[in-house]
Amino acid sequence: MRRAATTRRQALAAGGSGALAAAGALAWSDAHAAPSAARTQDALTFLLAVQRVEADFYAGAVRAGALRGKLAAFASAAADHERRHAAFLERALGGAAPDAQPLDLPGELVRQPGRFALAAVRLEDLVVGAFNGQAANLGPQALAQVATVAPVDARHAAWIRALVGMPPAPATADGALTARAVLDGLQGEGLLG
Amino acid sequence: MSEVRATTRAQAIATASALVAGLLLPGGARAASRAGGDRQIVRRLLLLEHLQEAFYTEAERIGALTGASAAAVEILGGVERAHVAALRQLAGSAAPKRPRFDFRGTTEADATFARTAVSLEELTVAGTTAQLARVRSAEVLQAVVEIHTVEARHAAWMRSVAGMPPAPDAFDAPGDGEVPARFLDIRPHTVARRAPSFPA
Repeated sequence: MRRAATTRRQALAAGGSGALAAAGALAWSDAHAAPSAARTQDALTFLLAVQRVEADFYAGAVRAGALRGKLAAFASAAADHERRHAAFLERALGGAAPDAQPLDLPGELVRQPGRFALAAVRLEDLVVGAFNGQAANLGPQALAQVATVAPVDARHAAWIRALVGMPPAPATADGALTARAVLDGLQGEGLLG
Repeated sequence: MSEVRATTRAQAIATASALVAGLLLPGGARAASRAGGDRQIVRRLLLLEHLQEAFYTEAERIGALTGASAAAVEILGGVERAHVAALRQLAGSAAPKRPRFDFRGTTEADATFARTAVSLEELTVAGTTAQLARVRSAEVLQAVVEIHTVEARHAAWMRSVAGMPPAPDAFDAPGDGEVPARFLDIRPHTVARRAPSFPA
């Protein structure tokens, strides 16, 4: 950990208060400092780890073969997309991408359609928050790359929410999540094995 | 990261989380300021949000939609109005005049509404995807990313209403975000200096 969240802004952000709500009309100026390469690499590494969780979760559900109908179609599409997202981020990281680790998910998450669907909702919402939480830590090139991935996960979130009868887009803004909040959320759903 | 030998997925993601913990929002290393380029970006995105706001608000006002379209428009109108308000506040004095649009009757029937909603949502998602990496200030970036993914949710939702795959591709390509000329109402609008009088 490079530094703890020490400012009021960070503390509020970590509590879920997004910049959209806080946005105010300030003076325009030209000052600018892009995130460093090291910070960008750390953020991409975190996002890759999250994408690998998604890829493994959906691949496991497809392999288990317990889903039917629209839920099966969703899992199949999401499995393909997340596998490609993980590969994309691995390429973006080049030689800095860590090796993938095996994930041993609880069986009921991928074999019981009801459990699968609710875990997928939680997972996709967490991943959207993870992307939005890391945007400010990405350099321009990485941000341009991630900007093509994040909205697809948001589409997944809306898709699976609709399938389980939840509002596809429940808020006016998708708040940013801290890495710790994402990690806690994944652990809470049993998605880290 | 390469120095760490994580042996489980939980350890691996925990390590990755620790690396970035505390580094987010609207901060990171981006300066909390707004460059001239950001002003143009906000103005461009504001035009797209105005386009959607006007579309859904008109559909709400006419009240001709039924079923899933009617249910969606009640929510989407309010969300797009909130996006417009947030971006106008962000733009401050640089906010453009509210544009006029002509949706050519597409707000009056479920089928044309859903197809048009899909095209407007996709236009906004692609236009925003193209602009994100050009944003320089932390506040603008955070506001834009938090709207971007909501628009992607809307795109998936409206695609579903229109009977289309919600997420047809693994990646959302950037686009020009240009408002279709057919929806721009460029007719001259005059304002009467006084109310007309009618015979009693």
